[in-house]
This record gives sequence, C-alpha cells and structure tokens, in this order.
Amino acid sequence: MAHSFPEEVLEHVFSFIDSDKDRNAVSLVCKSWYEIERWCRRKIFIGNCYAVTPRIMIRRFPELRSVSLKGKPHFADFDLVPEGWGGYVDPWVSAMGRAYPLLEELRLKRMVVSDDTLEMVSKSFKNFKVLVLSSCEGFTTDGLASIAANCRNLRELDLRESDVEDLGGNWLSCFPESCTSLVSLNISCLGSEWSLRNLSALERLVGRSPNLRRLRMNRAVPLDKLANLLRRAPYLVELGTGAFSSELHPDVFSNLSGAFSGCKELRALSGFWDVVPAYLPAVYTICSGLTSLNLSYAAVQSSDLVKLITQCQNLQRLWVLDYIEDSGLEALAESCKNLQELRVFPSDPFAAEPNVTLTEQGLVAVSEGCPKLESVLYFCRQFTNDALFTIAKNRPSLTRFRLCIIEPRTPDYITLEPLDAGFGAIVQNCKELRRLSLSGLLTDRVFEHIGTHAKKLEMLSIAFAGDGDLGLHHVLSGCESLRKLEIRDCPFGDKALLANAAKLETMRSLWMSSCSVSFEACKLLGQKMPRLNVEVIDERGPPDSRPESCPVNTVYIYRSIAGPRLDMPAFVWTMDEELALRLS
Amino acid sequence: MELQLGLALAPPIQNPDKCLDLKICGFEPNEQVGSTPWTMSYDGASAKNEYYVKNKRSFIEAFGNVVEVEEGHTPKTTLPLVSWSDQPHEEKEDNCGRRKMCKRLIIERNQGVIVGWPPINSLRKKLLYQHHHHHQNQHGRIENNRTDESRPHSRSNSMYVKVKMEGVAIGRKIDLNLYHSYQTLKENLISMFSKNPRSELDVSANYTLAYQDREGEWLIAGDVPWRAFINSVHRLEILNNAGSVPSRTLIDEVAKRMRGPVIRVRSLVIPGNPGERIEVYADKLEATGHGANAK
Repeated sequence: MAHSFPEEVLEHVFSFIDSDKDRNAVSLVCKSWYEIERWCRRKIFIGNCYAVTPRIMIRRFPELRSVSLKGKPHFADFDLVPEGWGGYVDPWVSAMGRAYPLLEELRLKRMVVSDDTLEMVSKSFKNFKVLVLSSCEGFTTDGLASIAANCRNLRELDLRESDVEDLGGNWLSCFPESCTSLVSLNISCLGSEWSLRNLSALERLVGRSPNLRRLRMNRAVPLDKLANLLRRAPYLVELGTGAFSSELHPDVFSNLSGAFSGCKELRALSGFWDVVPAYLPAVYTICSGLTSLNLSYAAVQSSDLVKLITQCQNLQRLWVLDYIEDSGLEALAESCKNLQELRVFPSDPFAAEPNVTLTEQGLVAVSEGCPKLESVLYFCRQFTNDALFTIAKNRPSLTRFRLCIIEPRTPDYITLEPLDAGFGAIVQNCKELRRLSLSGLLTDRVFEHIGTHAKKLEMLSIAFAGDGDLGLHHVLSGCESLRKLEIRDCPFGDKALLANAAKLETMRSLWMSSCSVSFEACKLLGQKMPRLNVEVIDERGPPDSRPESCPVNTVYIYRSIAGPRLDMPAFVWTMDEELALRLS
Repeated sequence: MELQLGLALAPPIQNPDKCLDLKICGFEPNEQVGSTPWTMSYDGASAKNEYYVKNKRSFIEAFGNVVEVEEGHTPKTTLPLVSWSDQPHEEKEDNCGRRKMCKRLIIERNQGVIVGWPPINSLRKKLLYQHHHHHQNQHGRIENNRTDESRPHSRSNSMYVKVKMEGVAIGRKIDLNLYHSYQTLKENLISMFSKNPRSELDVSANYTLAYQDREGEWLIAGDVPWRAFINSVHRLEILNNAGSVPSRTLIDEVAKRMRGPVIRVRSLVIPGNPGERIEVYADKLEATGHGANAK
C-alpha cells in the first residue's frame, strides 16, 4: 500500500499539510510515511524548550526552515519566576547554526537571548527572514545592530514586549541602504528617548521599504514626525504610533489628518502613548476600515474614547484602559457588532478606591450587544454571580474568558457569596471554552463545575481560590483537554497531585506557587515519573535543609523527553533521583 | 505576636506506591478533604515547621522581611474582609489558618507587596507608573517619565534592581522596597547568593556592596541616607573583599562606557570608605569614548 505512490508524490501531497497536528497524525500512519514526513517538515513549534533538546529536534527533522520556541512559564510575566531561572536560547541557536544553514524564521517567547546569540543568528543563516522576540530579555541594541547589518533579506523584525537594553547607539542605521525587504517592524517596546539621528534613520528605512505593511514604533517617535512617515508608507496595514501628543497646532493636525486619510489599507492601530485627546480625530478618516484598535496605553476619558470607537463599525478587536467605563462599553456594544475580542486593562490597580466606574455592567452590556464576542480579558473591582449567568447565557460562543477582580477573594458584592455558581455557568454554557482565568472568592465547588463541564479547556489560571485538595483533584481528573495549569496561593496539596500523577504527562506543564505541596511529594513525583521534570524553586535554600513535609515555595512540573535540565540556577532543584544523586 | 499560618502539612507517606493512586487508597470524590490523615499536627517537630511555613508565603518572606501582625489588628475598612463562616468542608484548624492567611494578605496588600498581583506585565506596570506622574504634574506633556527604562517601576508595588555577586554566574533581581537599611539588604543578599548559609566564609564583613547610580558611576553603598540610595541605585554588585577580581558586570560596564572592548583590567581599587569611587585601571583598544572610571 505504501509502495503504490513514489516518495516524491507523497512528499508533494504532504507539502499541502500545514498544521502540526495533521503532520503528527501523518507521521503515525506507517514507518515510510514517518520517514517521508520528517524529511519534508519545514516548521516546528516547541511549547516548552526544556521538553526536548536541540539534538533530538535536529535528528528527527533535518530540514526545518522555521522554529518557534517558548521558554519561561507564563507566570514569569508577573515576576513570579526569579531572574536566572533559565530559558536560554543560545544552545538552540548554536546547534541550529550547524544543522540548519537555510533557517529562515525564528520565533521566541519568554526566552533569554544575548547579543552574542543575535550575532550568531545574523551570521549563521544566509536566508534569514523573520525574527520575532516576544517578551524576551537579555539583549541590547547592539544585538539588534548585528541583525540589521547582516541579515540581507530580513522581512520581519518584531520585538513585542521584550526587555531591550538601549545602549544609545544608532542601530537602525545599520540596515544597509540596499535593504529593501522589510515587511514588518515592531520596535514599540524600545525607549522613549531617541536622538534625531535615530529618527532620521527610521524615516530613511521606511522610505526605502516598499513592502512595509506593519510598522509599530516606540514612544520616542514624536507626533510631528508621524505624518511624514505615513506619507512614505501609504500601504501600511498595521500602524503603532509613537507618542500621540504635541503642542496644539492646526497645521500639525491637518497634516496628520491628511496623512492618515492617504493610508487606505490601514486595518490596525496601536501605540497612542501620552495622548492629547484633541489629536484623536486625526484618525477618523480611516476608522471605518479598522478591525483592531489598541488604546491600552491611552489615558483618555471615556467620552473621547467613545467618539473614536463609535466610528469603528468594523472593529473586531479592542484593547482599552478602564477609563472607558461602563458607559463607554455600552456605546461599544451599540456600535461595534463585529467585536470578537475585548480586553480592558486597569488604569490604577494599586489604588485602594476605584478611580473609574467600571463594573460588571460594562461587560454584561458588551456580551448582550456583540454577538460575535469570543475572547475576553477584563480587570475590574466587583462582580456578581448574576452578571456571570447573564454573560454565559448571552455568549455561549466564548472561547477565552479571563476575569480579574483586582482584590483577591472578593465575593459577589451583592449577595456576599462565592462566585462558584457564576463561573460554573460560564463553563457549563460555553462549551468551546479553551482558556479560563478565575478570580474572586471561590471554593472547591467551582472546581467541581470546571471538572464536570470544561471538557475543551486547555489553559486554566487559578489564584487565591479553593479550600483544599479536592479542588485540584476535580480539575486534574475532569478536564480532559487540559494542557497548561498555573496556580498560585491556593491551599492545594500533595494528595490531588499524587493521585493524578499520570495526568501530568498528558499536559505541557503545571505551575504551583505558594501552595501546600510538600518537598516529599515533589521527590516522590520526580522519582516515580521519569518522563516528568519536577523542579522545585525555592530561594530559602535547599529543600532538604527543611523537614520533608514542609511545603515548597514553587513546584514546576512539565513533561519532557530531554531528561532533567542541566542549566538550573542555585535556587532550582530537580527531583529526578538520578541527577540529584549525581550532583550531590 | 507572630503570625502563624495553618496549612495542611502532609505526614510521611507510609506506602508510596499505593498512595500514588489515591483510587487504590479509597479516595472518594465526596470525601471531605481535611479529615485524617492529612490534618495538621502541632507536635514538637512542627514548631520548626511553622517557622518555615510562615516563610513560604511568597518570595518576599524568603528575604526575612516577614510581616508581623498584632493579634488585635484590624484591616482597612475599604478592603473586603471575607467571611469564612460558611465553609462546610473545612477542618477547624484549616479554617483558622486561612482566616489568618486572609488577614495577612490584606496586611500585605496595605503595604502593596503581593508579588505579581494583579497580573499585569512589567511593561504595562511601568507605563501605569508614568501615567500617574503625568497626571500628578498636570502639565500638557509628560514631565517625569525619566524612570530608568530597564527597571520596571510600578507606583506603590515594587522596585526591582539587578544584583550580581562576584564569581557567581547568574544574577538575581530583588525588590528594594522590601528593605529599610543597608544592613538588612547586605545580609539578605549574601545569604541569597551563598551556597551554605551557615558557613563562616559568608559573613557580612567579607563582602562589600557596590552599586551603580543613575549616572553610571560605581560607588560603595553606605554613605548616603537610605532613601537617597534607593532613589539613585540602578544596579548592585557584591564584591568579595578577599580577591579583587573584577566581575563581568563591572568589566562590561566599563567597556560600554568606553565604547569598546577592554582588553585587560589591570586592577580594581575598592576604597575603604563608603561613597568613594571604585577605580578601574584598564587598557582599552580604542582611544575614543569616555568613561569616568577608566584611567
């Protein structure tokens, strides 16, 4: 059967198969399909860089062109992972430099990247096209200069939310004059102070990039430069402005407005740092074409926000600060019937009193008015079970629901009950829910609901919730599709963890910090489950310097075929028996 | 009065293989968790446990800055005090423990030290801080956004700076808001970095704490008042008095300021007195550039 088609034909057929899942399925059909498939796979996504080694990847897939890697766990975004934990990309780049000279794309998330690594990337891969560094750190503008100078065919340089040390050089001018291949440039995370040399380098670069479609600038680019930049790149599809403020001057305004109206392809807008509201109308001419609007850095009053948003009838994604308030969200619900994703961020989360009127009402209004809503991230200070019932009833199509009530353990503010029933309604009605973050006062009951109903849930984030092991047991035993579970400050202990040890091998990772998992349980898990890496993070010193029953600060468990990692810092201990013995 | 956390501590597992699968052990979903054998026991051994348990709440506690609560302390009225009375499945001691844990969280919250909550990333926190300065200044333009771009600086919450120790490859990040004196800072840093906290070698006197200020100067910590130090410190380094091999950080810093690689650092003079500059004698490849510390 496998012999009826020559390899070349099969390979050609496989080349139409893009998704990883499908490719994996193909490779399981028979040995010869496995072989053919592995030689023609061009793209790989590795969700945990410690689950596999570069050598294993290279051995199985010798002809990759595109590699995506993720390093630190998600909670690293919130300072819960100490500096030096790991996630170094250098060994990967070294190995790939030798094995994949034709590599074109590298996408990294939450990894540590050094200037040396960037230089190696720029020199090892002659046809390098795409570099995306999402929430990465460890490099400076010198590293960027190597990329700019050496990557002749660079199409995409995207530094989204990375922590880049600005050494003050003029790295943008390192792009050779002959470089005209840029399609996408995102430097929005860079600093807010730039010299005139940087600005003119940017202008020249934009001017000689006819294929540029996505440009996200940093705060340092002043408003009066924006019009010129737009005129040089009228085919932009996505724009991130720099600072959106200037002395009020009619000329600047009309110039800007004219420039915007020339950008007829514009679909996404972001940036808007330091917004002076009087300049917002400059973008009105392109509002009807916008599908994505990120105003989450714009400290602007609700009325100004509403005036802008109500012009964007085709909006599919809106990110905004809670200055929008309930009234603004009601207006949004009236105007933007195509809305799919809403994120509302807090403008002053550390204040004791709320500074804006943003309550559960706003989200309820959007759930009523926007029939296509599927993704929500909402920070607020109060909620009720009733509101959650209503949202669940209105929008059974929700796939991502993240609610963050700012004060931990806040109950339903009207009934003073836990929010178990409300979240229960969400998981029961929204059968396609893939991602959920909980907050507010929650008992084990909510986990019973989740375990019973959330069968498609892939990622769950829990904080300051639950009563005991039963809660965790419900989740681990009930959620069949669970891949990532992250928990902080919950009274979950050993029992549920050990009872569901086998489940952990079906997941990418489990993070538990400030819970009640004992060192002993971690050791047991590490010793009994060779395909799990069980790592204890504890800055108090070695866990065996305390009683075994003592809870560890953090345990991070992930499946791996690479064995325990060897680059752990002093405050991370592996529970793998062999390695621990070897190192002691 | 020391705050005691009541958390369920597991007794030693008698039969590891069996208990790995609780179904064999007869674990029923309806079973009330918190009944035997997973209850807390207050025997002699656990007196020490409580100390460690107390220290486990967050990374903050690891540095010894434990929040101490008076028995009669009442939390701020603006923050909701959750009523725990209707928790039917709880063991009595757990209930008590969690109420105290809740109190502690409220106290922590008053001092703004719940690490990583609410879950906002550092880029956004930095911007929130800058927004508030803008509003406070009531000017048309941003006045006071000159916070160090490389240091996330949120308003009332945390002040992280990088710390490196001579001879230790991996640096740390610490929150300076948790300390109130040079002494506590230095001691905690040394115990954080040292492999054996009880060793004779890791005594405060054997180390010197140096810091880099906003202007890029490296100074010995200790001369200026603590508040002034906090406002100007950019980065910390712990130097070993015994051997004066300059660390990678110092060398890198000097190299950056001189805009070129330093081929050899000849010597490092650590002054005896706080406030004096550290002098770095180095040979450089290029004559261009300037570095205040290079000679």
